[in-house]
Amino acid sequence: MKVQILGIGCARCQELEKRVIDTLAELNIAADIEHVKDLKLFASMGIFMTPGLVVDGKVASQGKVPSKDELKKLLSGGK
Amino acid sequence: MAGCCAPGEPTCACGTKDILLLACSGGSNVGQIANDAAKALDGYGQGSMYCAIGVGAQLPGFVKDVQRKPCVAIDGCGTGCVLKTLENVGVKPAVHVVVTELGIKKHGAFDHTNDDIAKVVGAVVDALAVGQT
Repeated sequence: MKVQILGIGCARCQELEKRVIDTLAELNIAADIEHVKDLKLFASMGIFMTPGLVVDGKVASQGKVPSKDELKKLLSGGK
Repeated sequence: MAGCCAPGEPTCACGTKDILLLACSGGSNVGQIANDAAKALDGYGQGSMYCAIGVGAQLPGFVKDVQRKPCVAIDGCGTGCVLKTLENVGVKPAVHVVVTELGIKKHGAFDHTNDDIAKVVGAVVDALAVGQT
């Protein structure tokens, strides 16, 4: 699984990254995590509000930091 | 959401920089690309999208705002309506980007890609960076 966090490095983007790492650990899911900070790339990746979360190339959320429960669903394919 | 980032810290959608984003939203692909790029820049916390048509109508509150804050003008084509709108009230934008000058051809349909928007966002970001150096 590839997980990308999009944001230029503000507090909310960092909070999202931390929450993603914690949630993946709780779910015991291995993933490549990348923090994309170049906002010139965001629109091409389908993100128009930051922070953005892209999972395996698909936009999972944008413009908010999802709760842990939401992240569990987003990172486990909605299961 | 304002106020969640410390002063001087990079902001995303949680904060708004003191830059006004004025875009064409005309009846063509490039007008819609300009508008979508301004929305994206706002969504990335790089400025506040602002009502170009309010300035065009020369409504006093709108005119006052563009005269006291730095403005980014995003025009769809060389007609330059946004630039002229600002010039008519004595404002020279800090940055002026024209979508058709980025290699995107104008046509009458509204379809465009995310890459088109990214190209315009990139041009604005580059121009703002040059202005800061």
